[in-house]
Amino acid sequence: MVENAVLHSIDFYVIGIYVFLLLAIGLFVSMRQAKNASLFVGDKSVGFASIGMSIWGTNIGPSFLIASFGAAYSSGMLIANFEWFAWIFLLILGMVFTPFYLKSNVTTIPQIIKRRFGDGMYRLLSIYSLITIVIIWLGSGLYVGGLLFSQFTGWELWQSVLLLLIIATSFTIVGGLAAVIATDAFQTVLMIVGMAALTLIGLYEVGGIDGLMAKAPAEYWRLIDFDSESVPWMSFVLGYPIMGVWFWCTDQTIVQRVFASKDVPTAQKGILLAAVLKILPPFIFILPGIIFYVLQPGIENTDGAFIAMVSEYMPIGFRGLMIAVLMAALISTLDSGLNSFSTIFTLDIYQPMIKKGKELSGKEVRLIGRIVTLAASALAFVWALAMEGMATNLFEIFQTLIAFLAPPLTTLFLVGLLWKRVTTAGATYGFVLGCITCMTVGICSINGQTFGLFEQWPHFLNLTFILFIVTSAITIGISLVTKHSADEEFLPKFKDVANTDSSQNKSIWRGWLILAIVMVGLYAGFEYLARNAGNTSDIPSSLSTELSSSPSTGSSTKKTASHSEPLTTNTDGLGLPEVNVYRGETPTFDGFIDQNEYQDATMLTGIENWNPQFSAVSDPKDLSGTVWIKHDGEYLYFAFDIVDNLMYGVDTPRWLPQENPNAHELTREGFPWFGDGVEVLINAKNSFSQEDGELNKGNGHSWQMVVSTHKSRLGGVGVAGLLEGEERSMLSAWNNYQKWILNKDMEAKVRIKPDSKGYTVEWRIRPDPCLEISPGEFWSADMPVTKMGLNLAVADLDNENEGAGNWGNFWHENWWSGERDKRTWLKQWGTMVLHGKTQPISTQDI
Amino acid sequence: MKDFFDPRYPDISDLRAKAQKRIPNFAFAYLEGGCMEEISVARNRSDVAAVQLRSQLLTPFDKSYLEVELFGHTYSAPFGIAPIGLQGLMWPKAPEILAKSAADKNIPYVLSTVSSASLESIAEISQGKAWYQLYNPTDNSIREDLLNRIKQAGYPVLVVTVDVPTFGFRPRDIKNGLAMPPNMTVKNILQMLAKPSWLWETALAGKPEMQTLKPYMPKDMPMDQLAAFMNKTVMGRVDIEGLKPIRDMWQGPLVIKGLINPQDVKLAIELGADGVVISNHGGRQLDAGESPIKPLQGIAKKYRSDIKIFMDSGLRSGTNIAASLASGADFTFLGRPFVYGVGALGKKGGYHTINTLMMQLTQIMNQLGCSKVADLPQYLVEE
Ligand SMILES: Cc1cc2nc3c(=O)[nH]c(=O)nc-3n(C[C@H](O)[C@H](O)[C@H](O)COP(=O)(O)O)c2cc1C
Repeated sequence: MVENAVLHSIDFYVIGIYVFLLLAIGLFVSMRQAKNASLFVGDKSVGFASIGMSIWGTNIGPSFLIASFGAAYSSGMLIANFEWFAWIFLLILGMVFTPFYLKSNVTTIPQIIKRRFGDGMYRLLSIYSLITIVIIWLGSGLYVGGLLFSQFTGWELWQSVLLLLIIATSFTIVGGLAAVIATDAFQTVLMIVGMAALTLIGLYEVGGIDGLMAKAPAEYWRLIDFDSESVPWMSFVLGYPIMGVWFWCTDQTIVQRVFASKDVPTAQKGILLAAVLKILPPFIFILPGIIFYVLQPGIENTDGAFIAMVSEYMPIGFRGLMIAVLMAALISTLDSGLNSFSTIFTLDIYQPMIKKGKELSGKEVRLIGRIVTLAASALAFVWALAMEGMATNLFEIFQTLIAFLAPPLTTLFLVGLLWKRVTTAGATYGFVLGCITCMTVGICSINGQTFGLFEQWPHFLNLTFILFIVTSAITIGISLVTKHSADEEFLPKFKDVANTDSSQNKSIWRGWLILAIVMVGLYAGFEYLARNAGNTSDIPSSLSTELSSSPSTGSSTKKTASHSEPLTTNTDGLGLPEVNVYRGETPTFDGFIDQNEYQDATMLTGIENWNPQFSAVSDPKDLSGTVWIKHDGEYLYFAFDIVDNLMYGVDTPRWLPQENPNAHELTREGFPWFGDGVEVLINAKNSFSQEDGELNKGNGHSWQMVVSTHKSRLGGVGVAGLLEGEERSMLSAWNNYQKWILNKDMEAKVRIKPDSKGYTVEWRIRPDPCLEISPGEFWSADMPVTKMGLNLAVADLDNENEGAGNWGNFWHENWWSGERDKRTWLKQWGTMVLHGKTQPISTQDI
Repeated sequence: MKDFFDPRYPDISDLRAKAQKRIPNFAFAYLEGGCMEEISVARNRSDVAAVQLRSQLLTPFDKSYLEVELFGHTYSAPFGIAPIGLQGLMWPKAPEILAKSAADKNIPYVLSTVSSASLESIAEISQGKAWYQLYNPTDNSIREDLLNRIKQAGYPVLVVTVDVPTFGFRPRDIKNGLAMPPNMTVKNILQMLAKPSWLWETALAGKPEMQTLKPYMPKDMPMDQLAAFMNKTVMGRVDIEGLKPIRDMWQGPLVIKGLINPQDVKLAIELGADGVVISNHGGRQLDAGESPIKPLQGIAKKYRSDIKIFMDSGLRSGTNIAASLASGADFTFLGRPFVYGVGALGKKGGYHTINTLMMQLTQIMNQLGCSKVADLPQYLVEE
């Protein structure tokens, strides 16, 4: 395993505890259940709370998590509609479908269809179900989850995928659905707790509720937007129900929890609980995305937003918790998928087709079920790894995939089951033609292939609606011209299965009514926010009631800003330096500066007269020197020849500044610039968005690195070399810097002069990844003349008492550009003009 | 709300105990801590406790009035809320909560320079009644800008604190690596996790930052440089020469806080200051220092007619306030007790603490037979 800077050992303990609890619960439940319990419906004794939490946990997988976080980052609450409409379809599942399902005494969705339309349809549907389980539940989640896990741990993708699979498969094989449901409940609680922590920490960072309201764009609160490009309201209202019926009411993986319940009221209560829990995702999965946008706008690849937030803002221990959350999201989905795959294969393929309908003994079922689970797990492994080479915008594709899988099945259930006139022929043709049409349209629209027929494909939500209409038309049309076949059977009437007048039934309906009122209230509340945001006194916060009159809003803040203006502006007249840099011969990269080695480079002198951050240099023997800069097409080179009559740690004993007893360490608490050394700061993007105070990003766009004469990342304390500079307080920067050093994207060689009256440094920088002039684009010598921000610093530490009074006990620190205290601000840096060609020889030189 | 009183906490020590349960250890230690061995913290308490008052029962007496006039405004009680830095760290929105309760109860709230709230927002919340406490900004441009903002925001009184020429050496804070916003070390995280109500309120209120000074700080300044920055810019040592430009720039009432030596009081009078706070900064700066109640009597006898005399450090009850006023102070301040109040009771804590102290003080004055605050010295048992 590579050295891991993102995770602390405590994070690994947290992950370990999670895995331990998970396996313990899974195995405990497996042991406890009756010996002859079914792998597929347990012993039909699951309580409603477990059912509800399991539905919720199964539904939320890692790709959902990443995608909705990213969507929230880029466009706010709109994506929450997908969560806050789900309750309607859970209501339909609970109050309409569940009585049918349980009264028909079936274990799989295809078996329902078999009763209504006979064997042909049954086989079709069994195969269709297996395929969708692999695509939706197994492959995508596993790939995404594995990828995220690898990003955190530094493992290979296959290692991560394998580990996650082994965990998920273990208790699924042993305990079947009962273990799946019990562990899902645990993982649901974990996800809620973990994501709530992320939200609260985000809120803390952003300045609380007041800060969020003041800084988030008002339109980010909008839930209903007719003109939105991502979720246009009309399309949503038409298209989502098609997906919703399929996903919530007829998909085996979700519905299997219903089959496992003891009776109808238990199932209904579980479903109601899942619907209530569905209130949460916008607050704990989507809100943090919005918060992160406020904290750090400008991330282009929003799929990476979640990871970025976790690694930058979550403290020690919580990063481990978030990885556990991701694992929980994955495993709670994966185990359910594995189990339903095994259920359908064993009961709907193996028994009727291979065993030709012979009864299977309980033992045989369990054996086959376990083998199939293992096989499904192997299939998922291969499929997840195969995905690595496929399209790049996978998250997006998975989101739209459901839109094309749903219409045939939704038609079959809505039209086929609810309307008696539908014939087997109608249902079959409707389903088969529907699948073919959907697949064709799906593939073409995902690839953007329009054959020149129209300008662009309609929104996927519109497409799913249109496809539903087409499939329904086929089904109804063919039914009207055909007759019922012999093996058709009519399902019982709704009023015969639903015992509408029991008191339990009434209280469940009351629950739904309350939920409906809450949901309407939520929509109204957010609509209100979208219209009034930016006005803190309107926020329903526990604190704002008393203090709403209130802090930091409106006019008073503006007053502050204008007052302090004179202090923070006026840098324009500063006359920032500029240096031209040209191509030259490749120097010998050994730390020695030989005669003529840098004669074709641009020279900067007078370090002793650069801007002092601390005391000014009065004697050039104390600190002075020369810097050369050039490139050879492959690397950008900086060479320093520094005169320094007293070297910290060489001529003096090592001592530490009072303010930081860890100054010498190589950790983030250590000071990289502590000791004699030089710094290079480059703003390759040559832009800054803030007038003042903006610091570098710690990536290829802008950075600061340090070469110290007495410690280094590669050599440790006592060996001169490269160190991570600021903003190393930012985790992403720290990681980037460390990666550059370890990959030798940036290298430095240092030589202390033989008389120890100074040192020389050769420092080379590879443009890719260190000089990223725009996202994904790195400087190269064949580009036209390019300007970058540049700053240089040379630090001199002598005796402890000489620097008394400043935080690092510096004797001197001289900067090429920028005012005292502001020299790390991007705006204060000088300019490096990079020429691809060698220096033109001017007439004067001749 | 204004008259809120929770009978479970009739004494400041009850509030303190409750607050300690709700505030993370590192923040509570910052609030409590004194310099080095914390000898002066203890001495502040014992010296105040030693003051004795004598009642006079047979002279006709109607009732006691707590009102006191200062710089043209009549306050409802002879005590105010002393400036405390980083309040928002100890309880989220503490400055806002205290400024509001003080304004509603008509007593002064003094906002610290290093507060988590901005001076503009506190001016607004306190309806213009809060005072402003300034450390000496050594950077001229910052000093000028701050004074302009203070005037603009309408603060009636300026308090300049002079007893922080050094950073108090507070062992507990050093051990905890105290910082604002807090450092996310494992130890601190565990301490925060142990206080769920603090955690929840803090998340909703947001990260505590020094709002007043924010415009002067380079953005995202790393924590390790902040202390150095503060030392250099806004918290420098100040002597009488350093006070002169402030006196020139500020025409309103000027109070010098942190004096204990009569010599210094004399210099303050010569400077043209309008008040002095006799204080040892709650025992946080000089561990071998006297407690202010001791020199107070002498100073008051000598200078009471020349300048308003305030006192703080170690006061924890109506009795203590009466003792200080009887020893010659015109007015008193309390620091930690109000933070205990907010820590224990949140939004209601400010009102509760003020009401408790007012009730206690009223009882004592009634018992003594003293009707006005200014008469209290008559009831002092002189040593
Ligand atoms: C945590 C804490 C922070 C303080 N911060 C300041 C400050 O920023 N400015 C100031 O003038 N005094 C400050 N003080 C001193 C108080 O204003 C006051 O002098 C002292 O607390 C009074 O003592 P008491 O707490 O025993 O009542 C602080 C005191 C404490 C306890």
